[in-house]
Amino acid sequence: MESFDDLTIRCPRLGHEVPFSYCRRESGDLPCIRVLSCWESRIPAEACLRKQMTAETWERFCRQEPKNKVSSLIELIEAAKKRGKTKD
Amino acid sequence: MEPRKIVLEDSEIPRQWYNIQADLPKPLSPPLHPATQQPVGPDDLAPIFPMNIIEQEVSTQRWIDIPEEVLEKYLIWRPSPLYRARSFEKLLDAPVKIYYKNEGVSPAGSHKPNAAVPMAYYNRQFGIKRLTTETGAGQWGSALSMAAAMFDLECRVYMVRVSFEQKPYRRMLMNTWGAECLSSPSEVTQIGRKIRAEYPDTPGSLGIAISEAIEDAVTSKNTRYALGSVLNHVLLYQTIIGLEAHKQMEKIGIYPDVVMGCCGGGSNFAGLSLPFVKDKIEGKQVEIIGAEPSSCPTLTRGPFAYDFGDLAKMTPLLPMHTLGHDYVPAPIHAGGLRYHGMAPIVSHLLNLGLIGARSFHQLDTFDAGIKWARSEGFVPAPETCHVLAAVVEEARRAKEEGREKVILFNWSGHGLIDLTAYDAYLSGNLVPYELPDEEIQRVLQAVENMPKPRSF
Repeated sequence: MESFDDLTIRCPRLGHEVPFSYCRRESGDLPCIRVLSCWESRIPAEACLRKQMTAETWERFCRQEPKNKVSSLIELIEAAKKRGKTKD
Repeated sequence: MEPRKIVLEDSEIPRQWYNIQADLPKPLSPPLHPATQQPVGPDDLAPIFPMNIIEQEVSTQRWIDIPEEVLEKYLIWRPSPLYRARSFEKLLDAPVKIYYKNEGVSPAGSHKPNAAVPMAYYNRQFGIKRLTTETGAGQWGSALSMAAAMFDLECRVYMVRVSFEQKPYRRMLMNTWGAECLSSPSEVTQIGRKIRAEYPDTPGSLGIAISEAIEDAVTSKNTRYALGSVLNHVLLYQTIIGLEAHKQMEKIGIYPDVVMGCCGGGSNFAGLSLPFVKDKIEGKQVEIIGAEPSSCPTLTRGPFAYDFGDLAKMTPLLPMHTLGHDYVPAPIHAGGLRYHGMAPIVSHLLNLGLIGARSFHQLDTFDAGIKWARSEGFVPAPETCHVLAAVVEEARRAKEEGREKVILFNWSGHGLIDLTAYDAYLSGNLVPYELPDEEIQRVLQAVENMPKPRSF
């Protein structure tokens, strides 16, 4: 895994170059949703990630479904409202 | 001397945006509220957008007037010139006439201000005093910063930490236009503090930055959030590009055979193409193509490739093993435009067969960008290079078919703040990494006992 960490690619979401180490932890304990489409032609990204992640985390990664942007904004609004209520 | 530019006078600028929702053969499905599974209503979005923008998001009115105050700002750089790329044509040596809209002439250097300016205006009209947003490399963040300054609004941009550290120039631009640019996760939101506590060395992500920008908008007075792509109202504002192009091509009595744009979230592609999609719906013969990024090389030596169009579903994954030197992974290059973050209107048009998609590997795109810079002079943004690769491919097809074609595309922005990307390409750092065979074998052994994927 470490041998791939410094390889760089242009990230279509951020708009600049990022190393593989960024893509494999972009979402906290989950990789970026695009990690396989961006990397698999260059390195065995799936195998690397499966080795690194627990079966449960891998499953969680695989089960992510694309959300309509408006729906995901509403989720974020609701989450922000909840945090606002418990503001320290 | 043959003209290279087709320009419109200030007085000829279009006075209305075009709303494709009025003409869709099948309407867009309404987004559903994640908790109730009922269609989202205006009040659901009211905490982050002003009602005048929400009304446009759901509007099915075909033409929407552009306010005078927005037109005044547009006129700083609009109407943007339509160019004939004669030098590029000569270089490609194919039977094509290539025209492009130069959106790099805006003060922020891209098409993004076309949407940022009306957003700032409508927020101001609604009594909002402050805007928040998120940004990666900073193209959108800088456009919104400029627009906010034009309408006397405060602006705070949450910039993904890894981008904040790598892309200082757009951060400086944002500051120059008076915006506050924070590295995300920051200390000013609850979600930012929580993530920093859990992952102190996190490089950040767009997801975190959006969460911060929305929390800020929801919990602060007179504040709203602005999104630079994907949503219907963003695409609506961008149609100024295609409406101008339409007029400019009419001026020279030419209609394009192919209309192209690069497709990240869909706003610049839609901006140029939606008025031409209208023509297509009304029976005109025109091919409309979105060029999207793929990191799969045109010819790959394997060992894996994926059906990226299906990636979003992800289960099961579809690896194709041992492709060999001459394998062309067709499903990948058929394109997708369905992945996370694509504008629903664009995905919908693809499903309806009104537009097509092609994907290009980053090396092909930079190769096209370099060819462009060395013939036409302007240095394209790396994203813009995707459509240049599509133009190169289209010209090659025209040559093979022995058919004359008129190509129109959107040159969405300049790359003068992205020269490190060119440096990475020119110094060979983006060359595909080729795995040694022993490494391939080691990896294949590692996945040997895992569930077998569907085979092709």
